[in-house]
Amino acid sequence: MNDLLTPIVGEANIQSREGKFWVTPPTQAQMAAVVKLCHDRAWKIAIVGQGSKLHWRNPLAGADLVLSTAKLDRLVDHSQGDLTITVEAGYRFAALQSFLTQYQQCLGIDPPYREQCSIGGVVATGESGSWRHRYNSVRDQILGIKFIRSDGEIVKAGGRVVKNVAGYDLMKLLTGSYGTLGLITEVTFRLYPLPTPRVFYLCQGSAEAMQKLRSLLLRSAITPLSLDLYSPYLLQQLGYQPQWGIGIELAGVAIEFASNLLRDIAQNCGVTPQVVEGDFNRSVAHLLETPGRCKVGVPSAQALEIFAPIADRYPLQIHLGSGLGVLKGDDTWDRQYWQQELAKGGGFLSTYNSPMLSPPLQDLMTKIKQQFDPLHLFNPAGC
Amino acid sequence: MNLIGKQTPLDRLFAQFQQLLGKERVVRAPSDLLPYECDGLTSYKQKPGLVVLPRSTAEVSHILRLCYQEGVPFVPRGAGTGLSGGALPVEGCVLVVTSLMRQILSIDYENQRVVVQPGVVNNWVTQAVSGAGFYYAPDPSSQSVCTIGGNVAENSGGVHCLKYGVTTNHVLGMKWVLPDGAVVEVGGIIPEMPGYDLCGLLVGSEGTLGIATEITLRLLKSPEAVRVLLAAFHRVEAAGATVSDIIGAGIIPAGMEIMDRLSLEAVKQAGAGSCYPEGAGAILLIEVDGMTPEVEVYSEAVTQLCFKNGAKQVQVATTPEERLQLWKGRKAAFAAMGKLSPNYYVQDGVIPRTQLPYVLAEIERLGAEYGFKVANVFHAGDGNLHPLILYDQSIPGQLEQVEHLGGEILKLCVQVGGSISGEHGIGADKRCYMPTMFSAADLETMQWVRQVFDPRNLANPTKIFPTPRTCGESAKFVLSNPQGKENLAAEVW
Repeated sequence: MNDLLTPIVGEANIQSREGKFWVTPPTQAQMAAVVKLCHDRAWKIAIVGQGSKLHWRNPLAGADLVLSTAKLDRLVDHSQGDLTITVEAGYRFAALQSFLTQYQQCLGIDPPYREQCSIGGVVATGESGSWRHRYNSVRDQILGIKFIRSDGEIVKAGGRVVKNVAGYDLMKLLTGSYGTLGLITEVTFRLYPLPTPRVFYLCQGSAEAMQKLRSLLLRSAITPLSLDLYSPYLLQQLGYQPQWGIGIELAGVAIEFASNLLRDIAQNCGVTPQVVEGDFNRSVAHLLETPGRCKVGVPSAQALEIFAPIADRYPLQIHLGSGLGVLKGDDTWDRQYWQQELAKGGGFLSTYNSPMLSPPLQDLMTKIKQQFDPLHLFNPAGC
Repeated sequence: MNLIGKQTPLDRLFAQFQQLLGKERVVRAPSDLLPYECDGLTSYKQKPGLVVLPRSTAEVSHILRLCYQEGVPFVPRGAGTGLSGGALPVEGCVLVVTSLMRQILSIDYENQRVVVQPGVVNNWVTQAVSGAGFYYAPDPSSQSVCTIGGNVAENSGGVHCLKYGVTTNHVLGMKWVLPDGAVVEVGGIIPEMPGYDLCGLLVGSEGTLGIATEITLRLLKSPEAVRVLLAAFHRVEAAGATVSDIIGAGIIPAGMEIMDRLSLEAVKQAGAGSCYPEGAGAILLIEVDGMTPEVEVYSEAVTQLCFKNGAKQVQVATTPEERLQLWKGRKAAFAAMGKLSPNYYVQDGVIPRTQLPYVLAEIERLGAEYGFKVANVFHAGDGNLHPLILYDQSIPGQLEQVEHLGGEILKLCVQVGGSISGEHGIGADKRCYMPTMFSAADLETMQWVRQVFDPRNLANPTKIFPTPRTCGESAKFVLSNPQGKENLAAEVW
């Protein structure tokens, strides 16, 4: 294998780790040539970026080699006046946000593992975060995508402009596909003005108070950056009262007006917002770290009621705008039961390791996989 | 019916559809088919074989299953307001018209979503929920007649998508009938359900992957304050530069629209632009929304930027009535072109916002080269241009020349890094320009999706994708191809 890989990428870009070759091609063309080689030899490929989420489970299982996008880390184009940016997949998310900060711009995403994760990994897993409340999901930020097909061909969809309906929206198909349909090499995002200044408030109280607060905030004039519900257990672990809580991050020129409005609404619910200094959501992310980390979705209005039975025992964060969130279980809990419970109300619980080709759409999704990757070369552990 | 007594597939379908839907909801008489022979792109016409008007998912499913069994292609149609020929029938097809599926099925304010049938008119949704303080954001200019189903098919935009996104950003889930009649539910009541994002893939698929029969939409809460500013400039380039400055200042207004001198003249003649200033070379409409203090701060900043770029005057509208008045001319702009010219051809291209001054000058140059006047009305904030080429269809050869000019404008958009469609779709009109944006491999990859959903190529065949057959010859040849063989498997790459 080494003999065939070396002429393509050079010795310096091949490592042997845990009995597998890790190949880190420095250009998209070399990456495509390696995929073509794998296609011709029917070698199974595990795709990694900066490796921030490898602990979610072992994505290397069943793979003959590992292809890393870590060296595909070029900034292709930043069109400052157009609020768009095109980067290669291995570009680190944190580096991109700091680059954009100097232009008072940002990506509207705050994914988990943001210090380490790569852009390609964020897109492949579709992981957004709390800012989703204002900016919507990862898929909504992507204007264009370039990826390598399982036969080694580099293809693209979308473009570099903020509005574009030419052709099928393969950006949506690839986002959250966990690398099972193609190897993402380049992504174009829409950008936003940096939301400043910012302030984070935490409101705590009974389930009834939080339910009322949720409803009033969502109907109020306030347009927060984030609006998250936390379980009593999670807040207790962070040193707060073991009560439900709602975290609200406000930003922008109307921050004082919004803060006053928030205080009025909170008072109406019998709670007092407290300013939290530092990066609260980062502390939350640490608590929700795997093992046991599950992604959940519930109708936002029903979240408090649905999770009431376990809120005193497990860390939970729900983004109230979307109903998506993270729940950290342990060895003793009945995951299957919760999977069924959430599904009953139109929600879900997934374990972060694959796009879950589950019924009733299993047939269609399997056909898509078959069409895009008939030899099942990409991420064999992923579906 | 066939005189020699041998039934064609359409004869058999006609009988089966009548049994399924009753006689009133199946149309076959040539005179009754006339209203269905084109959509908003009236320069192409083709009568369908049959028209059916289902009322439910079950009926749509039944119709598509029968088409599948007979190997007869179908073309979906909403209100027929599309501007790319997406609902243009192909010869011998069954036209599935969803305009009778017009119920709002449920509204859930607590979870901010609404479930509608595809024939529901776009602005009925906002009308239904505005009393509770909500609205549905995508607002195409045709919103008082176009349907949500059509919006889903074309991934429609509108004047407010600069800040709030286009249709795809607002669809959570759909009940979807596949081209073989099977019914699936994609997405859900929560965004990002596990698995591949089929909902995101299907929005904007222009009827080539099946038909949406129930659509779950995200509702937004109405902003606390809204202000519309109208700035008049001597030259359209100054209006374009103001747009760049506003975005550059970190302000994202809800919408930013430019109308040039010619389009202003048209709306004034049509009586819809009475509040627009006389003698302006261009106007820029800017809608700012949000919390009251931010609307105040941003309006002031925007006003300053308008003056900095040489605005002659800036009008501000705060009440709903005043705002409506300022928007009225913009929304009427396309139709008003009839005042200037017997016919007009709308193009829909996108460019990076920063290229506006260059591209506008080039469009003017191209227009002069071809000898046509081109009016410009566009979503300036998105860089989504709508050049309106004025011509007279009764003059032989003019339409062909206009189409050629339109094509040149699209190529220009692609050259500067843009797209050949921002919101109208590719449809029948622009399929031959797809290779200017996408390589053969890119298009082949998109066709893989088609293979999965519609392996027999029965769903709106000949749309979106170029084929040697359709684009090797002139598009017009294909559209009136007497053989009618374009429909079936020959389209596969």
